[in-house]
Formats: sequence, C-alpha cells, structure tokens
Amino acid sequence: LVNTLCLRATHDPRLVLLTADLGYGFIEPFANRFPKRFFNVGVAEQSMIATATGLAEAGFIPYCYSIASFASLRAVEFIRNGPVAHNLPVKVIAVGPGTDYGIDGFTHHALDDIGVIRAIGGVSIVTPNSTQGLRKLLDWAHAAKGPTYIRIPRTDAESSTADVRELEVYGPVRILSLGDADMTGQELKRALAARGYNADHACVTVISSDSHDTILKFAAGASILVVVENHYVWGGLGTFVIETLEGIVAAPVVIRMGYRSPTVGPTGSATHLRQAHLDISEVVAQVEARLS
Amino acid sequence: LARQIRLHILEESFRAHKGHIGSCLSIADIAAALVRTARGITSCSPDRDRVILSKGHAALAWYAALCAEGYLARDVLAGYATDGSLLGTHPDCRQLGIDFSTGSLGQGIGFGVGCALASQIRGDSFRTFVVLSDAELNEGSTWESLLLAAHLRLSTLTVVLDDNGQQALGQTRRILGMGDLFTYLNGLGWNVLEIDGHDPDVLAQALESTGHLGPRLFRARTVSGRGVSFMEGSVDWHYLPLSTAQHAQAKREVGAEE
Repeated sequence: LVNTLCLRATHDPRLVLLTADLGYGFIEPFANRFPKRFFNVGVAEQSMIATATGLAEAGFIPYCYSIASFASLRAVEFIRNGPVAHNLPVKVIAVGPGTDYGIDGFTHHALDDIGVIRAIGGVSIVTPNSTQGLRKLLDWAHAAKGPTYIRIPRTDAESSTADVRELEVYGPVRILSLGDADMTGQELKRALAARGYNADHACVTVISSDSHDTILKFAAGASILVVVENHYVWGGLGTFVIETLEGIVAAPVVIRMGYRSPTVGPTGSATHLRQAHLDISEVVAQVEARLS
Repeated sequence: LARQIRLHILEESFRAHKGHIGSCLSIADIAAALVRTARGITSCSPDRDRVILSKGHAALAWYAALCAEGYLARDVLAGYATDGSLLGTHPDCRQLGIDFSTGSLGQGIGFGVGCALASQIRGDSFRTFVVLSDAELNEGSTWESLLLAAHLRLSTLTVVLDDNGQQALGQTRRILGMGDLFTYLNGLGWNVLEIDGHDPDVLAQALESTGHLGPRLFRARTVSGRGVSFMEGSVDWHYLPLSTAQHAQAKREVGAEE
C-alpha cells in the first residue's frame, strides 16, 4: 500500500495522505518522503474526512487512513455529506476487515462496514485478495472520479484465485468470495472437492454500480452460489448478490457464509474468530443437501 | 445591501411558508459583507475564494445576498423551496455560488479546513470563509476541525461565528455551558477578534484585513431575528413561518418602500 502510494505520489502532485493517528511502523516512508503531503489529523476520523472533502474540492486526491471500523462507522455521515454529496475523489483506506484485529475485540472488528458504506450509496468498494491485486486496484481507485472505500487486510497475501470479472465458469456449484475472504473461499473449495463437488471459485474485488452485471454473468447457469465474506451476512456481498438476482428466473440458490452475530464476549485471534463464526462443514452440508 | 437581503429573506420565507427566519436575519449583515469581500463567488475557478455556510439552515440569507448583488436572478430566488428548485432550505453545491452542501451541523468547518489546507500546500492565494453558528460549538466534530486548523496554522481560513446566543430549543448558555472558549481558542493559535455582527462595513473591513498568522475567528455579536422587533431574541422564529400581518409588519420594520 505505502510503496504504491509513494510511487503514485512521485508522479501525481495531487496525492495527499491523511491519517487519524494510525499506521505506526509502515506509514513513515510516505511521511518522510512527502512531508508536505502527509497530515496526521489526530484521533479525529470525522475531521479527516471533512478535511479531505475540502482538499478534493480544491483539486487534490486525498487518501484517508484508519482502521476499518473507525474509518467507516465513526465517519460515515461525513463520507455521505462530503465526498458522496459532492462526488469527490476521496479514498478511504480501511485497514482490518472483518475480525482481522482479532483479540483487539469487537470495537476493532469491521463486520458491518460494507453494509454501512453501501447504504449511503455512491461509493465504490475495493477489496483486494492479494498484494499484487492491491497494486492494480489502487491504480483503478486512484483514477476513479468519485469516492472509494478500500478495504485492506492487515497482512500481505498472495492468491491465484481469479477475479470474478475474468473467470469463465461452467459448473453447478460456484463460490464467490469477497476479496479478503479468499482464503476461506479456498478452504471451502477444497472441502467441497473432498466431497466430490468441483466448485468454481472467484473473488469479488470491486463492488460498484457496474458489479451487478458481473454477478449476473457469474451466477448464470449455476445451481448453488455460495457467498463468502468477512462481514455480517446482512448488508455485505451476500446481500448485494441477492439484490442482484432478485427477479431473475432460474437464479441459483444463494448460501451466505459470513458472521451471523456480533463478536462480543469471548474473543481470540483472527483465525480463531473466523473458524468460530465461519463454519465450512455446515456450508458443505447445506450444499450437499441442496444437490441431493 | 443588508436591507435588501433582509427584504428578500422576508419575502421568500413568507411566500414559501418556511421558517429559519431568525437565523437568516441574524447573518444578513455577515452575508452582505461576505458577498462583497469574497472574490470569484460564482466562477468555477479553483482560485476563487470559498464561502461555506456551516450553519446551512440559514441558506436563504446567502441566496438573498447572491441575488441582491446580482449573482442570482430574482426569478431563480423566487423558486426558493419549491419543487425542482436547487434552492432548498439548506444549500446544494450544484447551485452556482454555493461551494459546499451543508445542513448537518459541525461539517462545514471541516470542509473549510480542507480548502484552506489546499491553498496552503499549493501556495494559492484564495481565501476560505466559514460562517459558523454558536450552536455548532456543541458538536465534537467542530472541535476536531478547530484544533486542526490551529495546529496547521491555516492563515487563509477565516471563521465568522454567528454568536447570537440562541439555538434550537433556547439560549446556548442554558442548553450547554461551554465556559470561556475564546481564551482557549486564542491559546490554540486562533486569532479571535470580537466584532459587531450587524455592521457590514466593519465586517467587510475585518474580512479584508491581512497580516495575521494562523486562522482567524471573528466572534460576531449578533441578534437572532435582527431587524424585526417581534423576532429579535425569540427562539420561536427558528421554526415559525410568517403570517400575512407579520410579513407586512416585518417588511415595514426592515424598511421596505411603501
């Protein structure tokens, strides 16, 4: 992320980076290299988005960095009345999707951010599934004229899972993972294969007004479509898919695999929480029951 | 100019049967000063001065100022608060002369900080003026922005605080006491100056003044409903529309020609 922003900033003087006092240990290369285009606004996510709105109106392309739950929920009205209302290219960098922040607890979990951001309308959502994919998506996001919400996992990852926009599909069972849930989608694909079902698997890395057509193409001819996401099963990609398929004759059965309750109470690592809330064996059983 | 702005406010709020009249009259003189001070108001130039009505509910005062100064056609103003008009009771940036859509209190000041920061980064000469209500000082987000503006020493940012001592349900000091904010703001690095908010000439002179370091805040002493005896200092006129008789009396008091 920071390397890409540095590279982009060398060529584009409009790029500025704002942080709500987060990013210790890796945001410094940008701050050191572009001190006049780096601003720590303090622990103030609302101010960060409002300031970015003014900067964007005056011709800059601001990136606003924070933890996903804070960048979305705390600042949502400012995103709505700022870059959305004015259609400005403010880029919200939201780190730590789903339960990425694990043991840090419920306040740090972003299980509702996509639902909230989708609800206000007018924001393109970017969810890379790999470091390489992130670089490409940042190029896309930088060129986008309106606001963008970039949901980035805390750790680097590589993946060979196809982007849904590029995959040609044929089988009756299909898995659609939100970018940062790619690993869980891959695990599900392997679990289904072990039961004799060869599922097609693709990742959604962009949710925007253009994504409906992509989803329709991916779902066409399928019997079952499993949607996997590090998000509540409401408001996120699963809801987007159901909205897309509404009214479609012969639409596949949609199984949503995501969080079904708040992660309050006993906590744990990101891996522990994903395993506790995203039950692969249960989804495999659902698929088998449908196909039998 | 201020008299004409008040007359427009009374005429259009009466015709549209809308409230927020007290707030509009409170900033009529501020609007008069701003509309003559800010450069390039209705141009799309990136170098134009920005005027941001953080207290968006007083939008009619700014529409009236634009109209009185010839930036907005009278027939467009006559569409205020009608179906299909861009002139709602809160401002929309799609209307020429409106830089930012506002209405949710505590947001416009942040937009202004961003504009002023942009001019600082690029070394541009444009100035940013924000009209803030004293009630907006209740909002935590206002303070996030006030702190940031001071920290960044944004010299091109001017806030005009419409200090009429009144908010939606009563007097500001009775609703949420805030102590001596202005000494605190001074300590942060704001240039705080107290000013008569109903003297457009003094206001305009103050807005044009230069030579300061860091952001400025003019604490404009104002009266809600200024110019209409039965409105002055009355919280009711945050809400009420005018009756025919009240409209006639208000116009007489403001100085309408018979």
